[in-house]
Amino acid sequence: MSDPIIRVGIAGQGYSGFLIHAHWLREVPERFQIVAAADELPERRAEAKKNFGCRTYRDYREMLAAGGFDLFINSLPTHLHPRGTVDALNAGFHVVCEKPLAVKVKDFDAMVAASKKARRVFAPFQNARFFPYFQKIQEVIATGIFGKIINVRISWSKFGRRWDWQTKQKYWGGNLNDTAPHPLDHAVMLMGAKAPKVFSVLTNESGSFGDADDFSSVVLTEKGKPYTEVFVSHYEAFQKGNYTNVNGEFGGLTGGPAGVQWKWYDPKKAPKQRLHAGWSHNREFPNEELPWQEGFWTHPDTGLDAFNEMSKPFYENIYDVLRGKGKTLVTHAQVRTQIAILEACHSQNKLPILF
Amino acid sequence: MSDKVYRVGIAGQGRSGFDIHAAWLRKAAAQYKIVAVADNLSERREQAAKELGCRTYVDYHELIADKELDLFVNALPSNLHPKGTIEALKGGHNVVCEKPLATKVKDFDAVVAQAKKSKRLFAPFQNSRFALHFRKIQEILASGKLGRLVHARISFSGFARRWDWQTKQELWGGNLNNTGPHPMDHAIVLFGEKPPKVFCRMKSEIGSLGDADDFCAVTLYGKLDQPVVEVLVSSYQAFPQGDSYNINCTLGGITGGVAGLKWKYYDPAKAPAQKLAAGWSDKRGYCREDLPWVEESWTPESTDLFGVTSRAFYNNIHDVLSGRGGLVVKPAEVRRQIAAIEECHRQNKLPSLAKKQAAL
Repeated sequence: MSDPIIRVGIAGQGYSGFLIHAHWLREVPERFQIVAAADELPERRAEAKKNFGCRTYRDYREMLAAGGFDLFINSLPTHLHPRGTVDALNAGFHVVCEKPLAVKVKDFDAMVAASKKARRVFAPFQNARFFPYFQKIQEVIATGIFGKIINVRISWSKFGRRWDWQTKQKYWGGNLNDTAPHPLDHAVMLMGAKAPKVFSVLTNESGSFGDADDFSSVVLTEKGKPYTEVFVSHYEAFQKGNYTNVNGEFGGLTGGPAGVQWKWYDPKKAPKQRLHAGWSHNREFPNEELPWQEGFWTHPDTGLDAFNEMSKPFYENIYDVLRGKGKTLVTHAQVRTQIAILEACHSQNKLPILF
Repeated sequence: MSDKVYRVGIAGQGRSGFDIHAAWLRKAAAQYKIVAVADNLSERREQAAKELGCRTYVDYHELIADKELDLFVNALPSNLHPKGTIEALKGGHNVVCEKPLATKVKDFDAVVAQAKKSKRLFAPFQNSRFALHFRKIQEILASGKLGRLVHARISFSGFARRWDWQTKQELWGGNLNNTGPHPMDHAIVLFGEKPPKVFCRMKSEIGSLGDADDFCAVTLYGKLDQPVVEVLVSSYQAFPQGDSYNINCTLGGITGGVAGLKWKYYDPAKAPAQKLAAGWSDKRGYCREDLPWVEESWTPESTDLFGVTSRAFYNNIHDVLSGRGGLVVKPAEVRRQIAAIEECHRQNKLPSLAKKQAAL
């Protein structure tokens, strides 16, 4: 028996729906076929029709009512992520939903509940989980060479003004909702925490023309877990280090999409030291040569662009899951922890609503 | 007019007393003369007698009793900073005191009160305030070209194990007390005059053989119009994350450290005019524009941090002792720093050495 083709309806043909989801799915016609698309902009509907030869709808609810597909991809504007997902699950479709999945735990829980009730797959599109460098980072840490992890800092920052819809609170815009779901997902994974305490500062400065945050600094702590920072600022004039920085008892790593480097030492091969009883020896700082070892990984040429590199493993997993083989790699519990963090950040930082 | 030469006594001949204070003061012979030192280690007294040609005492109380001093330098172990300073002030001396000045505001206030009561000078040795790179950062920010400060991150971090007295809580060791007063002083000055709120996490991990913190992350923050200023002093930083100073403003930023600075900024009047978009993304693109960046850089005339800062600090002290101006490092600023440090400790009660060793 040949493998089935999953019929897909994509809600939203914006940056995500067109440039990320459709962009990959057209590459794998033997597995996925885009049969429907919804967007309120006529030029986007015309483009979808022309490119995919699919049916088009102005409103995603018309697409749900018409049916004729298996998988609903929710790449609607952010504030429609929970609502559109619940609508689609209630209508009997499997759902892949863009991030942020929700900004309140109760909304996320309602999505999970709808999925259980309808017995349909609800798959959060946390695509950055599949960044090759992030996979590598997890692999290196899992070897245990660093010992216990002391701290993690993840920064997705740059200098840039913004004036698009993602700067408006009413559409759930802002750095925290729009960008941070990626580094926060990494943070939750690296920290291994289920319910971390959250300290955050969000501000809305002059570079954002809307009213949502364009500076977000988040610290996650939990007893026995690494001190974990997620930083998404639009005022980083000079980049401070690489995307991800992890430090442990016996070494650490730094890395980003282009590559990862790490260093560590074996404590058994390090000089033996004892707590010194008196004052500084010869007025010197303690000094020793640690037997450092180093490793590095460079992003290989996969022949795929950055989005497709992540979409490929994500949709391979979804394809398997929809055929009853295996489970979603991105779990609801992991994403729920992330949503709880987003919610805590917002409750700690009430920004004035201007639009 | 020739300058008066002030007679100095230095309490403590360790890394600070000998390698920093004596190292500078013996060079500044036109302004200062080291006439006495105190240290409980005989080899340090012998070295001082030989190299500095001064009187030596075992106990700093004997140095306080020395009536021939114009200035008492407190470079004693950290836990004796407030106590030794108060005793020296009571003994009628002007005092320069090493950092940390105190770990509790009430101790710092007691020092300031004693200075007033004794009508003597109390000068906190926050020498890094005089660091050329920090002065340049202040100058760039004061120019207004970069707009308003949004965020600063100062990291004095590296990867190193420690097993000396500075790893012991009982001697007020640890990254926050020992290294922290430098970046914390800068952070407090950058934050502004309103007292900050403090969020801090400290750890004492396997690389510190004592029980004091070897990982300390501090965030100073406040209302929406106040900056976020972070200080990281970690002994587990395997790879540096950019420069030690990273300053971000609404219209640009600065990066650098002791070896030099780079900064960039744009004039908003010359930037493309943008309006908040009414609809969805234009052609599915992110906002794109070319900002008219102006980039500048600066290299200091000297990277001898201790030489530069000690000279500037002691020039200021000489001026103050001679009645020519006030202290550059204001006790009120240092008080805000001590308040922040105290709050950090309050938020992080670290276990004793026995408990730590049991947990490891």
